[in-house]
Amino acid sequence: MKVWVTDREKFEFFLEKILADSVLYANVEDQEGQVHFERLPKEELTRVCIEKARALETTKALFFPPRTKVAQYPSASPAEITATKSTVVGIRACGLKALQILDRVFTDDVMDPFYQAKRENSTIITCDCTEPWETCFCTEVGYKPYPESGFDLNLAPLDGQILVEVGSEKGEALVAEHSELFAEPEKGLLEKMKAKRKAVVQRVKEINARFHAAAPYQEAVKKQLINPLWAKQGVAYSCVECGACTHVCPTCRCFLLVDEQVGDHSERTMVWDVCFYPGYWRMAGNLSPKPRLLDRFQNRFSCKFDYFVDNYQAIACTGCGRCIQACMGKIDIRQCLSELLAADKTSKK
Amino acid sequence: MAKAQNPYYPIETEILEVIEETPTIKTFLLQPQEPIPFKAGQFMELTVPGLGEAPFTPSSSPLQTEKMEITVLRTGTVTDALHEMKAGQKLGLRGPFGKGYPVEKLYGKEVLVVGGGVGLAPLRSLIYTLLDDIGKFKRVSIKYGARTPQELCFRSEFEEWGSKKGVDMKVTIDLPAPGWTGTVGLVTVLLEKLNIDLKNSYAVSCGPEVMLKFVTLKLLEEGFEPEQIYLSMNRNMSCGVGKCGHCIVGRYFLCKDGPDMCYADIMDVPNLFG
Ligand SMILES: Cc1cc2nc3c(=O)[nH]c(=O)nc-3n(C[C@H](O)[C@H](O)[C@H](O)COP(=O)(O)OP(=O)(O)OC[C@H]3O[C@@H](n4cnc5c(N)ncnc54)[C@H](O)[C@@H]3O)c2cc1C
Ligand code: SF4
Ligand code: SF4
Ligand code: FES
Repeated sequence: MKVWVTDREKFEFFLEKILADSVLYANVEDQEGQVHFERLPKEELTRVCIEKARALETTKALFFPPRTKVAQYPSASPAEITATKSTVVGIRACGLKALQILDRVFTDDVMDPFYQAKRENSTIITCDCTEPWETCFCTEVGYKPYPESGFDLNLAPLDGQILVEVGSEKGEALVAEHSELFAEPEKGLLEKMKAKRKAVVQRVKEINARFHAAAPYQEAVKKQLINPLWAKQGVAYSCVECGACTHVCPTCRCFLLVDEQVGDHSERTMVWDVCFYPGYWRMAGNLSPKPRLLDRFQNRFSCKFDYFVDNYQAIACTGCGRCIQACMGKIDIRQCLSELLAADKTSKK
Repeated sequence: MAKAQNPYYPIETEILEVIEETPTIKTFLLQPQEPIPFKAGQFMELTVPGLGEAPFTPSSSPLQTEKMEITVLRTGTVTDALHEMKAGQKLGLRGPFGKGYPVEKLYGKEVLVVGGGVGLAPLRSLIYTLLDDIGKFKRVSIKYGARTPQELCFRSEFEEWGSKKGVDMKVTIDLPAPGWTGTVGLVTVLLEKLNIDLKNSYAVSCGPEVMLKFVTLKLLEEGFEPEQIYLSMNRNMSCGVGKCGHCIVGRYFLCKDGPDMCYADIMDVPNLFG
């Protein structure tokens, strides 16, 4: 789609304008060079970080928060479902893919109106990755470190300028309203952007060369997850069931509906749940179809790399690497995948 | 936004009557604020206000649309509270969810209905559906087992069901009991040497998962194909609408694609029965 060029000063001016009726969530860099995702006051636009790569925190929490009140009853009629308008700056390709995956779950034949309202009321301004982290492996999963579709606007920082790609009608309208802030890119700039993107792809591949963990995974996951060698000696063994990996994961979407009495009425809250927890599967009489930790560990892999592919035609892992950073047992998902792929290769010999 | 658009909102429902089926099983006759049409095998999420939800398949006939019966075994937090409730008190209902039984597929066939314990409750809505239109089926054989005679659910209806033309009703209890003159043994004993037209049969089963496992093994041994066996996979559930993840079995969400699953679709799932 159409690409414009602007600079940092004009971009901040643009943000200020479009924030008139919405709140801002953006990436910011801390003193250690780590990138975080925060709600930012309008006065702090200079802090918005569009360089580097994805934030430590996932944008999932904005659309699917850890706790959402979904019903108050009894009442004559259920409350109206609304969402504050938000502008989100800094989501990376991996985060956007994750949102597209959540879209399929929450807005399929039965609509989740809470998720839907938040999605509808947000403007998504994504960014190209410029410096991937050591844990990034989007390229191995088959995704790219720059967004290709599904954003309103995408920013690609380049030599002190910012290339702004329009990705939707909403994005087009925003640019048109403030056309004085955007110019036609001069000759050669787009080629330069492409070259830079290529270099970043190369960089992510270099980071991951030692793992040999490139997609596709489905067949290996189907056949090798139950391979006792993988199960007994593989990395799965150091899992301590803390649930950190699923909480930080932008595509994990398991939840539980919890009811409580609040004064004279009852409330129902949707809270994040974790498929590693024994209680997640627990049935009446304390029975469970997944009594061993290993059964539950396997579920995470089957869910992301097998079932999701069948049900939603996408791998439910975007290669963001957050779970690698979060794991108490130092489990690296790339290592798990690599072991599965290797086991599958051996079994075919 | 209208009620129907929030899939998590419970419809207010009044308890009209509580029927004691066995010392641990009660049937609740319910009147939701608005009628909830359902198909046999589809299930509801029932709310005990302020405490929580649990999934149950109605035990009443789908033809009875104004009211609904749900038959509940007392077994934990939600069901304990439910068993303490009385006529006139309020509950919540969401649903119906799931596909329901493939009743049309059963037309012209012999239908084997195999239940264990409170598992006869979800099957009762199917039994009513089958018996109501009995001419459409070659034969309906009901095989039901419970631990003791006292724990047999809907016992007062057995005679009526069994006396219908085209219906064969057999009951067993796990261990001998004083005064019991009927069959003794697990429900699988009723599946020995089935005198049926194998090629034109379907089996439908509901009960504890260990029972489903042994029923399946027995049916396969008797010559059934996996395609001819339907199992009620009543696993942990929360949302009912294919989002929360809890009910996944292989690639299927039981709340959407089940809860009654064709065994052929799930037989390759590793450690299917845990
Ligand atoms: C589709 C379907 C149809 C069903 N139909 C019927 C029916 O017709 N009749 C019938 O009697 N039963 C039926 N059941 C079974 C019924 O849903 C269970 O018996 C019921 O959920 C038990 O709820 P409880 O709160 O009383 O039991 P509990 O054992 O207290 O709780 C079971 C539920 O609460 C959660 N839970 C409780 N304690 C903990 C804990 N400490 N940590 C984590 N999680 C916990 C479990 O994960 C589980 O979801 C059906 C089930 C399904 C899925
Ligand atoms: S995984 Fe890829 S897209 Fe995500 S932050 Fe890293 S480089 Fe960027
Ligand atoms: S599984 Fe790990 S790498 Fe994949 S999307 Fe989730 S957090 Fe990111
Ligand atoms: S009960 Fe939530 S996905 Fe099935």
